[in-house]
Amino acid sequence: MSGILIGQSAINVLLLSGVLTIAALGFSIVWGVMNIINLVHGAAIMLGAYVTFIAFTFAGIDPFLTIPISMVLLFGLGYLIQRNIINYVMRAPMLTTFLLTFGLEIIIINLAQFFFKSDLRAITTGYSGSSLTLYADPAANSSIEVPYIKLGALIVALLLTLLTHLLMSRTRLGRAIRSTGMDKDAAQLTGARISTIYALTFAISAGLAGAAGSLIAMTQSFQPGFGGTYTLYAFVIVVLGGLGSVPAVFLGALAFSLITVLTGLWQPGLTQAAAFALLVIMLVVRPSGIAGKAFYQ
Amino acid sequence: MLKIEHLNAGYGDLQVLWDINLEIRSGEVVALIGSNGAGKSTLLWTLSGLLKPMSGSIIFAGQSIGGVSPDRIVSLGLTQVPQGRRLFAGLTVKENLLQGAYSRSDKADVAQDLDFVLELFPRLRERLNQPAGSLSGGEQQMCAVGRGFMARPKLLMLDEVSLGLAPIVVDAIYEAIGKVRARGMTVLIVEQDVQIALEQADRGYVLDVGSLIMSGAATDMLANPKIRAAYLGI
Ligand SMILES: Nc1ncnc2c1ncn2[C@@H]1O[C@H](COP(=O)(O)OP(=O)(O)OP(=O)(O)O)[C@@H](O)[C@H]1O
Ligand SMILES: [Mg+2]
Repeated sequence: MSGILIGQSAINVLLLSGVLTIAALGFSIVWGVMNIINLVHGAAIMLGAYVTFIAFTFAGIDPFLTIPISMVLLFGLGYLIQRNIINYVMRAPMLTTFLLTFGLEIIIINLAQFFFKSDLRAITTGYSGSSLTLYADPAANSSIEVPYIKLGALIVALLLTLLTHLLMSRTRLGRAIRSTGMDKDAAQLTGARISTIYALTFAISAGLAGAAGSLIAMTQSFQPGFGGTYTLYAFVIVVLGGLGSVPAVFLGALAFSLITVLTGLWQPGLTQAAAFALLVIMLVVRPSGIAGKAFYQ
Repeated sequence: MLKIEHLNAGYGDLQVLWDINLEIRSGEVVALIGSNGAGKSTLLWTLSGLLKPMSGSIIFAGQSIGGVSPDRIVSLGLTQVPQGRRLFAGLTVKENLLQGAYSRSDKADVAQDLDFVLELFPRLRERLNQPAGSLSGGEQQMCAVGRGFMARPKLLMLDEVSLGLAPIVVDAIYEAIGKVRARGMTVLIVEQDVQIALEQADRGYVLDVGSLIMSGAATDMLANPKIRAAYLGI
């Protein structure tokens, strides 16, 4: 393997892991704090992508500027879904919430197909084709390239990851969320209103999914069903990294990206098989994940 | 401060408490004693709003709190240190203590109370930034009691804080409770250890299989031959 190929692959791993961290972060938080495997997560990512698509196509807003819009809209939607639907089955066994979120996902995707049609959508900005050349070898006619749009997405992703980490570890709300995740009754005895804490947790998760959707919309074409794949990715990433902290999600996303990029070099058709083989191995060998057990910080 | 009348409560269809009548006046220390499974914790859980009463009334600080949500009850000034400590194991000692003050908005006073708690339990100061789960049993109980103080409640209920602890640690904890009482906090001590509870209290109640069967001044109860025979094994 040439140096340029190795360099380019390393860059690709980094670029991919940023977006995947954001895609998996909310999924991990809801799982860890509320004990829900949230299958609506991918649908929230999909809606974020359409927010960006619509704002860009019909209002001409730069896709990066649509990220806050996605986040706010999905935050609101997440709050409403938790408050008015999932909240009623919080005491039920995990299978109930699993099936409920599965049903919700199908409803949302179906509505999206109805309103947005199933056409493949993509966003092309003025800077979509251009990239930063890190290193070029004119003799071999090859170079290491960082597409500007992916570089921007990486920066946004890292920033949001850091902000989420600070929110969970340094704020009063984050502390209440972590307390609730560890011992719901004890948290109530300190005066935390559980229904509000859960609704905010779910809303934060959906807001992050919205941001992930916006970032993904800039770099790939999509249609209403695309989110499901990201729910699966989030699942693998959380198992890889371990449930319970923001850095663990980042580690998981990094490992997932590494496998994906390496397998892609060798046999592009097998990337998903490799990622899920890793999931299976991980569950058997080290179920607590790379980072081990912690609780949200 | 707290007046319970004809309270029936339990879990779903399973009734545990039968026609409870109990009163705590402002500034008092009251002991609630009773053996394993008598229903002491069930009563505290009901008072904190985690269980809904089947019938009867609970009046706290002039308001009816039967069936009111736990967060409202904490804001009204009723807090408990639950049995088994129930610390947030992954949070640091400091975070646990601050979470105790979650319902308060007086930031400056919270900082002062944190200092007060750390003076009561100097060992917590040394462990301030360690996860609560890594503390010894005695330190964990200090942290749990400290977390209860941090709410600065009008009435603090303590559920078996002495359970499984060395006598020296129990003394330290009850000494701290004495200092809090001096600041005007009303205290309900729930214990299986009758001696410890009644020594601290002004008055006592005895709960037996879900019913209150006896009450009176703590000194009288300690001298009562029936209680000595049933609970002190003397
Ligand atoms: N979550 C629950 N669901 C159903 N029954 C319960 C539950 N918790 C306790 N009980 C039952 O209620 C009764 C009273 O239990 P409780 O814990 O209130 O007693 P206690 O006086 O606090 O005992 P201990 O001194 O052992 O803590 C017991 O018979 C117990 O089995
Ligand atoms: Mg008990």
